[in-house]
Amino acid sequence: MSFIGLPSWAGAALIYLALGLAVGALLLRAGHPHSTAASALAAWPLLLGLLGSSTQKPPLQGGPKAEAIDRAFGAVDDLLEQQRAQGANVSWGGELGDLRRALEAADARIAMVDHILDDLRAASPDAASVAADLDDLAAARERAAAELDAVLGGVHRLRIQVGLLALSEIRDEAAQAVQQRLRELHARARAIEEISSLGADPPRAQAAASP
Amino acid sequence: MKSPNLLSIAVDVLTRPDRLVNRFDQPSQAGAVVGPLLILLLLGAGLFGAVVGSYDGGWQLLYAGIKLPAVLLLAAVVSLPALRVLHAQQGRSVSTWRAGLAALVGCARVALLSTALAPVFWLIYSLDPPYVLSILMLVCGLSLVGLPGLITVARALSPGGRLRFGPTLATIALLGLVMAQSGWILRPFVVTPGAELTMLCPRSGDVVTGLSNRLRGRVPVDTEGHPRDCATREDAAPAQGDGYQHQEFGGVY
Repeated sequence: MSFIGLPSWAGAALIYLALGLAVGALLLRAGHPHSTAASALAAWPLLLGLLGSSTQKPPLQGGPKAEAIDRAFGAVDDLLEQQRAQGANVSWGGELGDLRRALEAADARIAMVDHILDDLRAASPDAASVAADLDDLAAARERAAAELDAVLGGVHRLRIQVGLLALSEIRDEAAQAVQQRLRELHARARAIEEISSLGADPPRAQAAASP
Repeated sequence: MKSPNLLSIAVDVLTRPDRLVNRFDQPSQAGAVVGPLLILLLLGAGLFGAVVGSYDGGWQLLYAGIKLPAVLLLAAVVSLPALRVLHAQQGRSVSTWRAGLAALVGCARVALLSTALAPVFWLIYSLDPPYVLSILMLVCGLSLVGLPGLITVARALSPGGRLRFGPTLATIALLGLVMAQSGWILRPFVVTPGAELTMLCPRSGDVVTGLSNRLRGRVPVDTEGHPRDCATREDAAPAQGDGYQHQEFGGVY
């Protein structure tokens, strides 16, 4: 088998290099350095993840609870959609969206802390103070994750309340209860949104240094 | 962040590959590591390939030196999408860039470790070992240096960097098999007795059958009795048989 008069392996190599050239050009255009663009000639399939990404720092990505958040809010959204279809006045879409964004932001911060912990633990710090700070950070991370779980549990209970709303004869009162629940959840989500709330206790090293 | 140099990246690839992947897993940081990792991969695997090619000498030094890095890259490129899906079943998938970086670090690790084996291979190949022994050495050597690289890839693709038995075993099996078959497709590295030096052999069979036949001294032959997996040397002696030729692979041919 031949390709434009060349052996098939040479043809395949030419096509591979041509695609590498194209990927390299796109990487250069995205602001990546020449060494990265040149590397695309040899290993462009491994660098496809760089396409579409600028060299600027990207926003925080989904964390360990991303899927659970997606599932919980997806279920509530479906339920609200059904209620609307039955003519119920459920107008909390915006508040639900805010709550979801707050939880996703908190989740992304937990992922960032996970990243920091993995990195520092891989570095095997010798200093006792660093190890103590790491423990503090890990404990704060666990508290934040537990709080996020609690708010997610609240979202599940919210779903039950919305279901009850469909059966309630005093709809206004039930609707107010749902709205109240949403406000509470939002307040709790905002509390874990603050990075300072990750650590209730000051790091031991700082505490030891202070008079 | 201070850009690391080639030496510090080589040290990290050998001693702390997980940390290297975690540190540069954002696309904005790719520029600092892609070039050095690829250089390490090409130089390390290229040197080892050239040493393996020294068994036959001549152009085979160049051919094997070019093909061995290609074997590593080909295996990574082919199996990476499947590996990402496999590890995504654990609940959190890694980004495309992190997966590519993990593959580059894993391949660079294999390449650097194989460089460490190169002097041993060069010494033994200079003693003209039998063909079967040289093939067996190559398979064992690549398995030995390949395993740490495969584990590196498995760990980098796992959520939280924790190894789990099932996905890790599947990663090692899949990537290892693809790597072995890539080597088979890009053979010869050690040329079959009776065949002439060539860049590539025509495709035939799979690595398990091929290696098994060779280790038993059975080489597939054409109707005229010449080895049919690669171009035949003009002075190779024809042999009759059942499609396989039993060869004595002792000493220099």
